[in-house]
Amino acid sequence: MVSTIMGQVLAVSGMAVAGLLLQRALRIELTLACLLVGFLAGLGLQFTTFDTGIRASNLHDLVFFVILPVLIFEAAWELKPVLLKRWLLPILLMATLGVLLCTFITAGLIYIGIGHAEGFPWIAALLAGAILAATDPVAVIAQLRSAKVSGDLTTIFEGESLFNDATAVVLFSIVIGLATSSLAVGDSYFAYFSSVALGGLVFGVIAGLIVSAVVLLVGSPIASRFILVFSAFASFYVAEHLMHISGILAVMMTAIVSRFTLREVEDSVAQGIAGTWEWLGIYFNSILFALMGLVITLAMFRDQWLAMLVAIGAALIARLIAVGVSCLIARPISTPISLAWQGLLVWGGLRGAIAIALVLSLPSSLPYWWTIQSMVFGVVLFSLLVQGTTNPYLIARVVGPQPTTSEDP
Amino acid sequence: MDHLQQLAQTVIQWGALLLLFLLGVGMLWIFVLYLVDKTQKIHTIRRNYPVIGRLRYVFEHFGEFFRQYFFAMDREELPFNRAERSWVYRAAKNVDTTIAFGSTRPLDQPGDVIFLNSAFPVLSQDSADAGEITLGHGSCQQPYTTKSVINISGMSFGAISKPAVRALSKGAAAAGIWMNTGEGGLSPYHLEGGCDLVFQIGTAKYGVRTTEGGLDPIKLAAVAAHPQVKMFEIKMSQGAKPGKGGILPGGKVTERIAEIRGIDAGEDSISPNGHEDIKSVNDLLDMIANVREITGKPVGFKIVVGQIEFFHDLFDEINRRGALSAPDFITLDSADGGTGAAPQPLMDYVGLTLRESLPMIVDKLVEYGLRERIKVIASGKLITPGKVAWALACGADIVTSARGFMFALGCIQALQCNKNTCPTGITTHQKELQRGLVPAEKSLRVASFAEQIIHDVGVIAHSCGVSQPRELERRHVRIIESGGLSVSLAEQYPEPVARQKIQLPPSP
Repeated sequence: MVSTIMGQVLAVSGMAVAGLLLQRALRIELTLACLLVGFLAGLGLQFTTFDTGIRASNLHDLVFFVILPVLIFEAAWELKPVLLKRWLLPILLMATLGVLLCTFITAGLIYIGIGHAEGFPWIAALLAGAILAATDPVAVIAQLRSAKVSGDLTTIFEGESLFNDATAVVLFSIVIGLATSSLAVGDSYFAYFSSVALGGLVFGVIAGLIVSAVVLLVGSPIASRFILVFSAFASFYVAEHLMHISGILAVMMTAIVSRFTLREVEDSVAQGIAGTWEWLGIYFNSILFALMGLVITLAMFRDQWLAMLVAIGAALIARLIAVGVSCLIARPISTPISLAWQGLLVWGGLRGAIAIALVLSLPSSLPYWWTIQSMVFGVVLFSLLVQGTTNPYLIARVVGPQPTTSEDP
Repeated sequence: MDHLQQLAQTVIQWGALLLLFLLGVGMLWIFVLYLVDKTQKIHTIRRNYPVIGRLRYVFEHFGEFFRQYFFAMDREELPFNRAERSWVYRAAKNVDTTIAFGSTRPLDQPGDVIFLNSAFPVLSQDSADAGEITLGHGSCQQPYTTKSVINISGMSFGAISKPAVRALSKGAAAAGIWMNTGEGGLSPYHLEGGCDLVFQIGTAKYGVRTTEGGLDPIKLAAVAAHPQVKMFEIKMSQGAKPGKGGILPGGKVTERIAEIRGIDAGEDSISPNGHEDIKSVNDLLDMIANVREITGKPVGFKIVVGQIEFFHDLFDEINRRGALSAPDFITLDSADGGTGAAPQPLMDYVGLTLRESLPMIVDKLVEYGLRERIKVIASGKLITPGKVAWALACGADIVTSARGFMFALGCIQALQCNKNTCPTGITTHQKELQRGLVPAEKSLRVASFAEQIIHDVGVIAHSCGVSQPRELERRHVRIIESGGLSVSLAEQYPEPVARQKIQLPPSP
């Protein structure tokens, strides 16, 4: 049993390593390289008897209990507390109101675009909308860093995508609960939603404090790294599995709180923690894209190209409206975000790891899962190949040499 | 009733639970703070006294505000104490400036000034306006005649914000006083209000500089072409930082400011500590002649008095060249002056203050027979009528103030001018903070402050038995010496004997 699992873990990791090599050789984005490796491996596997062990039935748990905690914790750890404070309000608006808007507009457009109410009902459109509301900052952040843009823009991207990942995941869990009718809800979705969300947040704060206390009590930089990694998995597991509250929000708060309390001991007890999260982040990102490559087939493009196009259009329009409305509302009460930055937020809002993770976790008992998966893959591929490659030009044009927008020209 | 009782019970139960929960989280939080303080290596106090040590930083921070609002006595703050500031605030708001039950000014501290009232004060119907004064008479094509007694001293656009410049410009126009542009060049906001302007040429010559940093005659002529620009002031040194050029911290150099100054945005704007083309009194007089010829308007210079030999050399050279070569005015800046960013050693230790330099230089002018030719403008903490009257009595012709007008704009002396975080929007370029400063409103205060100060100086003058402020003389003033007794200013600085008399064109 253990040896089978080990073999499967090694096979997946091997694909990630191959992806790294391919990236080095072809000088393309790591995500794209892993995707290619996964795709090639998928083609090759047909001729062998090797079993990756990945099934739709266990993928959901794998994604939720192993991959998401790491990705969320890593993203939360990257945030800089000081800069976050300045942009907190617009970020939170984009991650709550923005995500809701994005979900419903995407869902509506897709529903109308598909125009097949029996085969692709409302609930399916909502699932696609929730999955496509989560953005992935990794590629954009790298581009911003190489363009030497001010930390503010980077923080907005990182913060926004962290929080919208969390809300999108919560939303996704609720919608999927409805779709599979496994959700035990009373009459009020809102009360249920808020108790799950609030519970997750409060639990996260407590967990974060306890983790910080343990890290400080142990007082060894090496031990701190594994305690924190352990805490990412533990906080998710306890919240989601034992307490039935939102694990994703719990992990996020655990990371933010421990990051905040440990900021002053970064060069002693908490030394080198960022490095740990960096490798974990890149590892799981590569694995996710490799898995996506494994699942993609050419038939998907042949049969579902129209649905993909509809989803791409819907996702772009929804993102445009969500960002625009959130920034408009945030304008009078906070530091305003300029139109140019909003444009960057729209075009740079790539869909990546979280969207893949969520769509891979769809149970195959749902009749429309194949359509949703092709749509999400289509959008991810589009944002990877088109948005991701054109974004550097946009950054150079929009942001240019000046670092702030505090003074009108 | 039962329902109510039940409801109350639930609320109480849940409240208690919540309180207990919050208490638990709070204790956990304090425990983590304790561990952090023990572990971190930067702050000694927190390492030795975890958690409690943090209170020190809190109190240190709030102490500043508590001191200003609760504990500082009326007369003990610096640079300006509350009594002075409240007078300015009230004058600016045009509300009652009278006080009751005696002065809080001790009147027995060495250096304090008292005016000597006459037994026969001037009745209000006999009082006269402050007389007109003409600068540059005979030396240039467009001499400047003004009635103003107190004017706005040099604060560049950049050091102060756009709404602040607008408010000052509009207020100055309403009160009929002039405004000095400071060394940051001439912006449209200065011109907007329609007041008289004095253009300051700083050591970096912002606004009139060539790309190499020299004086650009074409740009200078363009500035002079504005009819509002009445005079030119060459800045040799300024009160806050004698011996050092202007400093505008990078955070305050926005696109617009950089454009007006001709520099890069976001980088510290640091003027050289002296003019590259002025290295001797000869160079200075050449420069004055040059600017006067290009602009056709009165030209003077601003200086903080330090080594006194400079004035001997300068006046000797003027007498050699002829009286028309003299600067039309000299602005004497006090060494304790200055808004904005300056190194503390310079602020604290370098240069003479106005109380010494003003009578000294006026005497030098009399001695060299240049008193009529060169007008003296005094500046440096002259924000109350008493101080302005003192300066006039010492021999100043005109007074300027920067910080007085900043108080009129609403400055609360938060001492953040160099940080771009001014809470009153005067010295910050952050839009959110500027929002509080409405130029249309504050311009009224600026005008009202100027009018009130002129009025009250007049009150002192009448009380001393002269009909207008410029007739105040040294004999009207006594200075308290150690021991609490006073000595007449006329005895402290007796009228010197003129060495020579210089031929001047007839007065207008």
